[in-house]
Amino acid sequence: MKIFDNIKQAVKACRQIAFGELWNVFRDKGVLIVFFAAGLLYPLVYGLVYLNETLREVPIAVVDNSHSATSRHFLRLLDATPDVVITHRTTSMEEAKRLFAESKIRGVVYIPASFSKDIAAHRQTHISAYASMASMLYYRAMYSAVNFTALEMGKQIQLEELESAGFTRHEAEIQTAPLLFEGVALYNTKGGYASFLVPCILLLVLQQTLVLGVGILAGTAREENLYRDLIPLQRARHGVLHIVVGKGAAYLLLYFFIAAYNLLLVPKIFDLPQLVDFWSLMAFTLPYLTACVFFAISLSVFCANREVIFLLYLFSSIPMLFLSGAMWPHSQLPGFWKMISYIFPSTFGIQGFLKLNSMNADLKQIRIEYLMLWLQTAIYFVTAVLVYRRQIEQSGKEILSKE
Amino acid sequence: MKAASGFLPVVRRELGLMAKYPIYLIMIVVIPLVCYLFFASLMPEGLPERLPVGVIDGDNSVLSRNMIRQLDATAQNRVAAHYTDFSAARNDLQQGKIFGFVVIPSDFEQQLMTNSQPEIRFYYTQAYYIPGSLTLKNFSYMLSTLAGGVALQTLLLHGETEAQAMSIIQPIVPDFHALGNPYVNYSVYLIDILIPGVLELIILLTTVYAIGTELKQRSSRRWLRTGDYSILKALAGKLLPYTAAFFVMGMLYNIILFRFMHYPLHADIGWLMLNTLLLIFGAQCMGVFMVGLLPVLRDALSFSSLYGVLAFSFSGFSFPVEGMPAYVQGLSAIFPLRYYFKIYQNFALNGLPARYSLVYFGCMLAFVLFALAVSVRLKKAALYQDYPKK
Repeated sequence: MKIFDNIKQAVKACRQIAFGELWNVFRDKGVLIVFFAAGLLYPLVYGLVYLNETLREVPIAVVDNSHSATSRHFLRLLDATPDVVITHRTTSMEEAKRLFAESKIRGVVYIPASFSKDIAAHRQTHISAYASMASMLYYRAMYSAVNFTALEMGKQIQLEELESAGFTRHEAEIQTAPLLFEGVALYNTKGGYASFLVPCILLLVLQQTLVLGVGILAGTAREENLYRDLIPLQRARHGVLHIVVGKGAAYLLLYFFIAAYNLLLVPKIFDLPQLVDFWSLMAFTLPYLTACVFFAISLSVFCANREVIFLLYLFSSIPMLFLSGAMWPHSQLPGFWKMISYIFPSTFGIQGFLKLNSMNADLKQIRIEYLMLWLQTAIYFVTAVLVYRRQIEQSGKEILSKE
Repeated sequence: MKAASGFLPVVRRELGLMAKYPIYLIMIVVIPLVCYLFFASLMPEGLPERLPVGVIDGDNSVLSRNMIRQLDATAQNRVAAHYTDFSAARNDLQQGKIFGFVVIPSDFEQQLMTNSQPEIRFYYTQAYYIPGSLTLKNFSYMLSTLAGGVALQTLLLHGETEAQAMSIIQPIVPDFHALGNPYVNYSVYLIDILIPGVLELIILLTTVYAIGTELKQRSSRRWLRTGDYSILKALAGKLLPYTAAFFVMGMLYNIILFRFMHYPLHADIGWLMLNTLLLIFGAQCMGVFMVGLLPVLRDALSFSSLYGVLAFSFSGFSFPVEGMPAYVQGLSAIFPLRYYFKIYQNFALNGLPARYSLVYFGCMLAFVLFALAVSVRLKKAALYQDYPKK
């Protein structure tokens, strides 16, 4: 059968190129650093950096001008919250400011002299909380600790006042809370920083290391004019197709293992959300990796030498994290940047993975992301073929002109 | 005739190289400008606005509809969808169409009127960290205002004065002051560090590339000869043009952030410029260190990339360094961006006198030790060109 023979030959050609490319990867220290050191170590480093998930026991100073049993009670409640710890008690705001300047504390709670008198006289009383804005998490800790304490203590005062105003205990309780409110976090239930950020980084690391590594390989091929070896192949029917499929298969094979490590093992090591079942994850990872692989091959056309990809591409990692909509809601991005974000597999990869892995969605629910990843795979496959054809033709011309 | 040598000829030689290869123009001007443009236009409002939430209104009373209208009228949220059952709402939450949804029980108004404490639940996701927590905060604030209003009515009917009633409803009012960023603007918080962070990364790579290319192209001996065979003269002459060029770009982002976008600045802008200059210096020193340690250009670049990207985490601006495990904290010391962030917060956010930042200035300058530590090794590499070519 002729067709059968053709397929057999095509498979053989692709396999040959794939093995050749794997050999290129393993003999190149630069590529190994990017694929394996970065692909395998980054997740561990980020997991460790954000290991504690939340910021607890933020040191604060208190200025208690009330000097009363009431204010001391308030401060005891405040100190007991997990968010802050009172490390300094100062007599003046000046002193507290000095401690703040020396970075010994991250915030100050000020209780005015009138605090206990106001409460005794049934007047509303104000306290002030100052928080460092160096990190949003300082403000967050201060906000939740002081709010919680003011509400807790407020409730006790309310009950006493209402009872003295002639309400029964039961009526008083209803008065303090005419309706009950409960906020329930369905996903990332512990509100962890790592649980939210690290999954996004895992996805981004796969794409970025692939682009860098493939860029180095393409740069090397150009420098050493390795494309020369590919010219006879290209002249064969469907030659370029075989080259792109073969190389793509080699990268895909490697990244299958790196992705399994990143997406299956790392979440287990650091106790990150992992609500997705194995087969859905595999089904999702496949188009993400293929889109990244052909995206990387397409971009490698810009790699005139081994190093240029680092210079031109590395800076994009942080912007891409923002474009993915993981940090800042995607719907809030300005229109132009939203369009740009659709170029990168990481946008759909991160969104899809967050929903699948962290929010227990199934593949049907993320069908838009899923289809977009396949669409990107198709588009970048075509561009990869075009790019390769051009590169090989060019190096062919160079050789001819030299000869 | 012998070619001119010394510090200035090295500078002149480098300026020639910078003019000859377009990659330097891309690194110094194009990429930083793209990044400035990107970050400056990314979050024009500073806080996410009108984030979509859903509603399951089991009551459908005047009161519950009024509540939903109120929620829709807040700046942070908008009611994007009404659902009849929990699983439909959760489905949209999982698809990222909404960030949370509120469940109002079926006899909500009735229960409230008869004082039987109806319960409202708000389901949300923290897988999206910022929108999730902002939505919760907004909703609980709105509800407490609503509950306060209900309580106020009852108390006024009971014969209390409004002042008395308020002291019962909220006896202790906390006033929050976000130091240096009073509107809790995320854009200020993120971009003030992200822009210099990206610039630092670019400087690091450019430094490694500028030096490493000499080794790779086998032109390093000529470079060293122009510098009178003094590695310090050769390095200083080579890097100074970049320091100057990047400083112009650095001044530019300071002007964009603090003059055009009016981000909070509680000190003279000169201090921030000095901070930028020190960051450039620190990044260049680390660049020299990387290429001295690994005199093969591609290895040095790979390694610099690994190191460079971590600066964003180790600067501690997103997650404070003291919240990291103890054995990781120490690593933050080798990132110039860490000290930049400290100096920035002291001056720009907190308006502190310069003496509080002296130690960080010192740390920034100390990065020169990294460069000096590898200078002999780098000189040998430049002179003998004895590392593997491939």
